[in-house]
Amino acid sequence: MNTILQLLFSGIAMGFVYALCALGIVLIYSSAGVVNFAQGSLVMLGAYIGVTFLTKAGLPVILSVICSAIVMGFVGVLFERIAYYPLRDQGSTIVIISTIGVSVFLNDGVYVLWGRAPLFFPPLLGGPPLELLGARVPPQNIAIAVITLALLLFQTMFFKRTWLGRKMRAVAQDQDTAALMGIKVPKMIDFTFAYSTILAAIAGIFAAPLFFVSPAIAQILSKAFASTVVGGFGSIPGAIIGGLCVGVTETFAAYYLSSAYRDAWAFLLLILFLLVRPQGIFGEIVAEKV
Amino acid sequence: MLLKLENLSSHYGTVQALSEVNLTVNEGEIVTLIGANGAGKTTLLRVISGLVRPSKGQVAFADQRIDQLPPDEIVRMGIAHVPEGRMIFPAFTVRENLLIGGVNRLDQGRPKEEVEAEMQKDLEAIFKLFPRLEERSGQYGWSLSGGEQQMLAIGRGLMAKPKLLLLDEPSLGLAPFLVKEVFSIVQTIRDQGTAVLLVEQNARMALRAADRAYVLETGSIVVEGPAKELLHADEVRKAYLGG
Repeated sequence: MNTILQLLFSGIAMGFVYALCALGIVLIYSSAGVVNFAQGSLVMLGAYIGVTFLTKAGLPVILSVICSAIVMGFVGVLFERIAYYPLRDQGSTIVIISTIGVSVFLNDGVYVLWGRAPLFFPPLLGGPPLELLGARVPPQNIAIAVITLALLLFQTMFFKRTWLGRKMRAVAQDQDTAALMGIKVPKMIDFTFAYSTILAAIAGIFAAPLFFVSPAIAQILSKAFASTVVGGFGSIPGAIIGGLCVGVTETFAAYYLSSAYRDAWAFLLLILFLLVRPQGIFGEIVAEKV
Repeated sequence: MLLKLENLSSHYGTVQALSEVNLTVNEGEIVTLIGANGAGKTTLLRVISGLVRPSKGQVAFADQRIDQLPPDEIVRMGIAHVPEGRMIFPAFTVRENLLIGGVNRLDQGRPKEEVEAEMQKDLEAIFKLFPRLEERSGQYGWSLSGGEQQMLAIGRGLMAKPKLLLLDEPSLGLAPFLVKEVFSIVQTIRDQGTAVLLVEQNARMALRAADRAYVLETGSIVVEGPAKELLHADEVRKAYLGG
């Protein structure tokens, strides 16, 4: 029983990291209509920038997270201006290729700035594991869960209650009609890229202590894709639930079945969903109706 | 003169959608633009609202050139466009759809509370015009019927407080009694002081409701005049009113 809970908790922590990356993909997809293949590399870049603030600049954890989020917000806008905006009328295939280009550039580019050796990222929260329902949970996993939930709550309120949030949602639903409402569509797409890249930064900082900081972190992209499909592509709650499903599934399968195939289980889940429920858990009610 | 199109041409790639169109709309009138499918009616509205750039000619609104402005600035100047197919935001509730219609007022440098209070008042005025929308105000856009969506689209356009309302095929796909209702609402809107440029395939209803009319054929204006006269003109009767 304790083992199951233990696995569940660490699966959830991993799942939140996938969910944050998946969320960024979904937000950019619904706003700009493009699948961003650089999202994993942005997560990786977030980890590198986080480790720089934390160990090189010696800032406390919270400040490092905030500074990385700010820097990455600007990176997001820059990324949008280079990889998306000039190509937006050329069709989504062209933009997808350009995001792949950015991802290759980043994955190798970090070697130039940070060297080839993987960097150590200390735990976000130190201290002994906490007892939770009989399971021993590292404080770091609790921090991941609490921060992610707080972020999601903030995001929900932001999209529901603020004018900026409503404008971004309008653009995500229909760019032309949003423009007819007087919304500055390019600016809203800027904001969406910025926010999605901030989410990537936070995912990167969460992932960094679990692994080392290296381009391997960018491989989180494939898990995030699996999460978006499992949850229902295009759906925000889907990205979160899908991320948790992928995280929990792979943690259990790695323990009980084979840890050598740890990375394969997520894709088995993905294939199962594509066979049985291709629209994912949350489907896309909107797309079906319109 | 509120709106003036001069020698306006537009192309989609090599296909000419509009050629040398001249058209005016004065304050306080309903002008209708009728024509067959593919005549260029929708393109004309999209040029006015800035979604499509003209290849030649100009558009002036209240004596200012607007043909190079982005859509959001054109909305702020006082032109609201209710697009073909209604284009309700499916994931927004009726209330959210209406509020987003007024969002351009927030970018005019006035205090937010003042604008929000004003929008609340306008929301109530729109609910008075469309009581059905008030009953449905918490429902999502995708769940509305075609008639309700059209009311919502018009209401959303009015939330921008336009001096000129562009309406693209508001009667499309509606039951006859709803078509009548829509046209009577269009006249109410004019009587409340908003000029209307109405694009329609339902020529008979449009000509009855409008003050002046233009007939568009393959991108060019072929007939223009007072709507009542066009209703009885032979060439219009034969081509658009079924004899």
